[in-house]
Amino acid sequence: MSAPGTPRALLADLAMPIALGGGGLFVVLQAQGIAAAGGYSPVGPSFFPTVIGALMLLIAPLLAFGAWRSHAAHANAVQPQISEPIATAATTPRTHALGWLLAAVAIGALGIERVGFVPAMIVAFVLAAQAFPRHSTTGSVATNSDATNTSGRRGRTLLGDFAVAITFALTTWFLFTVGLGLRLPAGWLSALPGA
Amino acid sequence: MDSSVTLTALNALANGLLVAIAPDNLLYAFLGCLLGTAVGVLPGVGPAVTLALLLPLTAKLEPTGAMIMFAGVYYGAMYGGSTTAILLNTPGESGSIVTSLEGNRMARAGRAGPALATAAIGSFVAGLLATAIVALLAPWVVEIALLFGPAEYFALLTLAFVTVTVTLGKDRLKGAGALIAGIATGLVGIDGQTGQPRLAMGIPELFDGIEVTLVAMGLFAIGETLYAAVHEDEEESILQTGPVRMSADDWRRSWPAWLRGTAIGFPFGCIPAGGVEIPTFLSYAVEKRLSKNPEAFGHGAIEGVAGPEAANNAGVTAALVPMLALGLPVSATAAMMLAGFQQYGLQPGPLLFVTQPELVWGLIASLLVGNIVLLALNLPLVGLWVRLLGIPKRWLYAGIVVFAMLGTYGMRQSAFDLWLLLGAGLIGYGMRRSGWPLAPAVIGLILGPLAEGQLRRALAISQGQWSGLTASTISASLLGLALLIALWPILSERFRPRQTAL
Repeated sequence: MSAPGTPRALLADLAMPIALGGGGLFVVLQAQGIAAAGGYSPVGPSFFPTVIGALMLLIAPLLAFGAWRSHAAHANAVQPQISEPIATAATTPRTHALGWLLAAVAIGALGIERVGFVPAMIVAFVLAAQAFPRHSTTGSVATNSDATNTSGRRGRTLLGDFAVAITFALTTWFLFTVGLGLRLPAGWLSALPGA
Repeated sequence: MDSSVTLTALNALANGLLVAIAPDNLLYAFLGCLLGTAVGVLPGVGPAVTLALLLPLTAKLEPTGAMIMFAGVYYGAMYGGSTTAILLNTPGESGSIVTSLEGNRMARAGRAGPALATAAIGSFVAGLLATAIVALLAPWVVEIALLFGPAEYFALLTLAFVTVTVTLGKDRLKGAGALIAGIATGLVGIDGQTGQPRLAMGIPELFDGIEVTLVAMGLFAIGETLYAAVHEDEEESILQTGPVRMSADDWRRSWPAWLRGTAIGFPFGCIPAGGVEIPTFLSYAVEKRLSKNPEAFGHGAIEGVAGPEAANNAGVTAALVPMLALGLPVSATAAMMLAGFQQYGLQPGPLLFVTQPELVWGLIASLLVGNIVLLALNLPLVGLWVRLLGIPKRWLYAGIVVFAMLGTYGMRQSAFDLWLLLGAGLIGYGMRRSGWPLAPAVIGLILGPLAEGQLRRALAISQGQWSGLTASTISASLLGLALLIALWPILSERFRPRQTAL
């Protein structure tokens, strides 16, 4: 998140209330299009959606007001914001990471039936990995991260990503198709066992 | 208590145990525990996500085996969540937040071994006791549940909605927003009573509705990955190595805390949407109060791990009472269990005890077995789980993304679902970012359609009279209770003596 109290932060905080309000409007409008079929129940298929949509429309402005109020409070006194669940608040958000991860899932969605599970997942894995900084470990076996960002280093990391991606995709493929009998599209690799 | 009901229950449990210790079922329990722990220890992957990710694994087994494996995954995931809370200070779900308070302090002081051990044994003790109480209690709840008609169910669901909103998360309004959004998502698809598509925009893939597991994976797994990628800085954890076993003093301090934690956790788990946040915090407060040296709290007091862990596990196990007997999932984890049932077309509820007794009792018995397997497995394997945490973040999260896609695609072989997963992930990110609790959304998605169905049925029975909803004492008092809880903040404000500050 950009520094609390800035207009950009306010806009980001308003995203969820706006989404909820938009969703409520959609639900209410759609509900009016549902024909009230003459069933036995006096409450037809459009009643519940109308109520739920109305509740969304009711809550959204209240949430927006809350976001605006906490924004105003931040503008005066910048306090550390407590995010939930407990996460280490980052100093600089890496917004570009969103792009990498969304691309990864999009590639998965586009590719899984066109080129097959294994190739699509390899690409998705590598794309998703790019969202995270190099040499970032989650635990005790931390490698000492140094700031030398030479291109050779980047190339080696990418190569490593591909190696892990290929191993991971093939292992899951075998585990789920051969091991558990799940059907996954083989695509380009129709010669694989389990296809 | 009517002794015959209890006796029947014990008998059924014994039969269930026979089912659970059949060699192949034992193997499933073992496999489930192993996989559940392995996935559950990954940071950012809480028990609910673990269950969602591993749901497809069980899809090809027959129901009993699948449920037993699922029970193993469930316990493994719970334990894995505590492990990350202790070692990395990253609680995978709200129930382990308290564990991380003292647990991570202990780990930093070189006492990770005893902290993990007291968590494991505490969970074991609590799980064992709680499962036994579930076995005794469930038949009684079933008897009550059989008195429930649509109006009573609707009232109960309304109560659950209110308590979910109030207890899960810090901000009621955000909880309500998440819940309502979840209910709205549950409306998508063909209306069961009239056969009309609703909110589907003419997209055939949406006619069957949106899968709960898909939404859970999007919100939890993808959303969490997005959040971690954007907001989390690299953090190095300083873990000291030290003695792995608990000392005599650790034992002496732990066991009363385990028992107290169990006693605190169980009742909360039984209440619709009682949650585990309150009992774990309560247990922590109780242990601190009773401790001879409360100043040790905040610096790695073992009671502060033992009590809340037991409370957490007892609460989660107790949640099986409303889940099995009433079909009401009261936590995100229980919701995933329900999704597991629904995968076989089984609707938990009082009738399941009658129609599928061997399945229900097999599951309860396998919880007992799973608990034992877990302890046997995890005490020796702690070192391995710690090493698993050394996986670089980029590969860890990339693997989670791929796994979420696999799980989603595996459900209905539909690439369209992956786009839904993407959308759910973005919403999950937005919710995390704005501090919305995620669990109410999943619970709303599951319970929303149930509530609508019961409401319409109840009104059909009362021939459209709204008064039919409050006609019986049970439904009237449940609705009254819901109203009271909903209005509590306003009421307590009014009757509280005026304070100068605030």
